[in-house]
Amino acid sequence: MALPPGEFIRAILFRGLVIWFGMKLVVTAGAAALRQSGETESWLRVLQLTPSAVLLLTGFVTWLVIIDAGRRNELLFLANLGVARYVIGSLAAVPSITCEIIIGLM
Amino acid sequence: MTAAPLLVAESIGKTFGTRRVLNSASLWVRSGVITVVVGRNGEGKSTLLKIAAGVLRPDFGTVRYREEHFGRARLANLASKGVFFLPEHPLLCTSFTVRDHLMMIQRRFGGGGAADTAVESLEIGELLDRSPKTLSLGERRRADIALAVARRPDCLLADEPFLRITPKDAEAVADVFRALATAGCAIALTGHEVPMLFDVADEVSWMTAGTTHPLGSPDNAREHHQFGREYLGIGL
Repeated sequence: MALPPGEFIRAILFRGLVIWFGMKLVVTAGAAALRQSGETESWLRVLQLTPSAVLLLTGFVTWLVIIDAGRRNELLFLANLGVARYVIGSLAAVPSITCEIIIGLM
Repeated sequence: MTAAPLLVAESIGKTFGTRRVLNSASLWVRSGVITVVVGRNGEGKSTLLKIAAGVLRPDFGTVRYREEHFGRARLANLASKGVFFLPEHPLLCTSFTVRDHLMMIQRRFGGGGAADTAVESLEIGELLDRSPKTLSLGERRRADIALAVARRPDCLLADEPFLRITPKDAEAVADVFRALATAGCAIALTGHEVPMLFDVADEVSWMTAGTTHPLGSPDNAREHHQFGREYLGIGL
């Protein structure tokens, strides 16, 4: 299993983080809006997702990072460097999973 | 004696929707030999090359590289064993400069002075620090080919490498392909630029009705009546 060059690893992780943050904002805003008025749930409780929601969010983030990499012509160049698509997908999932674990532990 | 093929895509079939593009097409790529695949638009040249490179999955047929069978060939796997695929559309990523690309290839595969040689022979020195977004299509094409040279592949599959290249630059590109073949690289090229392609070709394969017809040397191909009439337009 070949890893992408460092420049690509940094770019993929950064994009994964930015997209996760954007998605998290949308999901959190949606969850807050759906709360019944008068509920006294803490903001942390709103941020925490169920495990299946975390998987769904991470899958969506990964998909968007791969679409973006394709748009930038990166998938074929990386394949020519011996980097398989699942490696790119796995890297793209790292920020989302890490941040969700941190939030879950808070 | 003919060298054994390094990469073989054999009896390949591929359908897109209801349209059958390839119907038992084959490609043999031999070390030190430049094989040119020609055919009319939509006959499946690019599809065959993509399947041989592991970019597309065939409906049926097999891909063999160094005698190893690939039920499902993938470019990343083949690339780590020496294959380089040059697509018809630009290969350079928009996020990095040309120099970044060359450095990444050099760090991954070594290659000694191959990158410098590529820069010099394709005259892309002044393009090195520019983003691919600022390059013309012809400049991008030359930079793409420079990446292939820097990789020093054992097998190069190039889809329409002469597309949008000026006649002067085409001569430099042809020299680069010849040098790679002389160094033992197995090369397959597609395209429509018959004079340029036949100039570098050792073998010609004609693709029509979804299948390939090996025609031998360029001279033999020119003398092939059906090929001359239906593709070159001779004697119409």
